[in-house]
Amino acid sequence: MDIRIRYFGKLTDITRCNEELFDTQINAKLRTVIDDLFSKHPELKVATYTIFVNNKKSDLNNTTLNQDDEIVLMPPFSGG
Amino acid sequence: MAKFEFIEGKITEKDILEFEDSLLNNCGATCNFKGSVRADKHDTKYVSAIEFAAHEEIARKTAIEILEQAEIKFELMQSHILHSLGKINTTEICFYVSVASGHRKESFEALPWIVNEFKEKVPVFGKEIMEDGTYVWKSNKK
Repeated sequence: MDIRIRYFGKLTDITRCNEELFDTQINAKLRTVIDDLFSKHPELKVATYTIFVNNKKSDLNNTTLNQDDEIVLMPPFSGG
Repeated sequence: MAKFEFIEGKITEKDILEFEDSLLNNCGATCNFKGSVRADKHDTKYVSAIEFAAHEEIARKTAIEILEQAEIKFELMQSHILHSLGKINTTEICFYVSVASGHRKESFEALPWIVNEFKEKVPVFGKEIMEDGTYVWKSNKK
């Protein structure tokens, strides 16, 4: 299944895009997808970010993904 | 009442006037904060603008939650935030917060609390554009 992944701020310098579709297995664990992302974008391993799934902060080990879920990776905020 | 809006480009006095409600009868105090883009120096270069982007859905929800919390915590009658998206030049306003309360103490205390909460919790991202077109990602001081 395809999962949409969005990136913000300095993470877009690493991924060279604001979003991408990522092919993964049905009911994949969030950790599995992030580990696969590290293979594609190795610099993400040392980056600082918070992960949201469907607009909620999500735990790497306790989140299972479904078709049409959206993952968002956000670095520390810098508004104001 | 809690209100939050994104503005495309700089925040103008007209935006602020249109955004603000007329004060309630029982508001005796208002305070506001205007944040503008500063010409920070990075190595030998100066910032000429900041380009702001946000996760708008989460940002709107979080900003309203902060304002609603503040209204209870500080007994405010009104609390408003405007934040810019897009490219804002130095000296232009990109962030506006206002609060109103019965007496001054509540407004004095609420304003910095809201500003700090917003900076920490609302997903807005700034890219500092230098005079020569290069950029660095803005990071907020604690």
